[in-house]
Amino acid sequence: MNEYPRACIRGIQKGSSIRSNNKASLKLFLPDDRTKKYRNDNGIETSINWEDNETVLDFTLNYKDDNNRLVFPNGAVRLSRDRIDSVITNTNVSNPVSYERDKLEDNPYHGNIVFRDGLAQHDINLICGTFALYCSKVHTRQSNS
Amino acid sequence: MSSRIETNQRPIYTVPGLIEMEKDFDQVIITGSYSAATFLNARIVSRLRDEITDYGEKDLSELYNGYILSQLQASDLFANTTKYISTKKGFQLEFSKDARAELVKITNRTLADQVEKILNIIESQLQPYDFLTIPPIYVDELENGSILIEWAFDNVRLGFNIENQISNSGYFLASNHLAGEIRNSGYLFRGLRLGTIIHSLISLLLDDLINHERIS
Repeated sequence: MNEYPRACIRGIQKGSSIRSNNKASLKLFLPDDRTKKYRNDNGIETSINWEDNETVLDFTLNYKDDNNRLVFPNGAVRLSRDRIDSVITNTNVSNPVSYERDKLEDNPYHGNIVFRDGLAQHDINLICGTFALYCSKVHTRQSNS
Repeated sequence: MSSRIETNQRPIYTVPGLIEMEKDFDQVIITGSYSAATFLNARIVSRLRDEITDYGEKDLSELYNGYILSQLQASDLFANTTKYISTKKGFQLEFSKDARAELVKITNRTLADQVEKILNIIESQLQPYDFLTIPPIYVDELENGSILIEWAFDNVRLGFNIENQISNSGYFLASNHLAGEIRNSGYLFRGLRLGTIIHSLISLLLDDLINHERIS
């Protein structure tokens, strides 16, 4: 499937990614520097699940690692793809991010928001801050049941 | 950096009067004399000339962009903000209390000093006002040793990153469609004075703070 859905889901691994006033921190969307070495374009990735259907949020909230532990015990947020596109076209750097599908063996919805190589940290923070500003409220296993 | 490109899309940086400011600035550079239509323009242009003298050759768009955000926004907001001038003695620092508590935990004291400077400036900029509901500022030491200062309002996000290589430190401000869809970012220690940058950013925040006070 090449077309993308209207939104993606970002799981929350660390509780500190949600501030005490219940607002998402930009830290939630910061890319992982370690992913650079696996990419030909030297980009860095923020992992997401594409919300291809109504089960993806639940899938994300219940996703477990090899030790049967919840990967996202602190819930998940939804980010509209329109907002990602808006950042691509309306930020003062050229094409700062792109997105892709990256299916995993146990996760057909997996994808990435890719930050291009060479961005200044303040531009990365601007983009992540924008995502945090526009993402949904936090969904938890309790609120989603 | 160009925040004055007008396309057939809605402008991204909604800074009123930007084009007029630019004309006055160009006139000063070319002729060395003022022809500002307003006192505010003259003041800004005057300070821009001092800035150029102090710092030598700098990116001119970055220089006047910083001042425009500072003076022009503050001027526009002045009529709205005067009613919030504090009559109390002292100043409540609740919004930065936790951030200051984090300061002592930062391992790199050079970076901690920079964070403290920023907090000091922010507090002093807000001191004249009496907002009841300023959201808290957060300070985090990240895994790579850099420091993130983050301030989350309903419609605005403001942040600073203090890097191990100080010259790479920066700021950002983003607002949603309810607060002008602003996207602004830049370096902290490359040309503009730290106080100028923060003054600019606070001015943009004031509008959101006032609106929040009205609703709450």
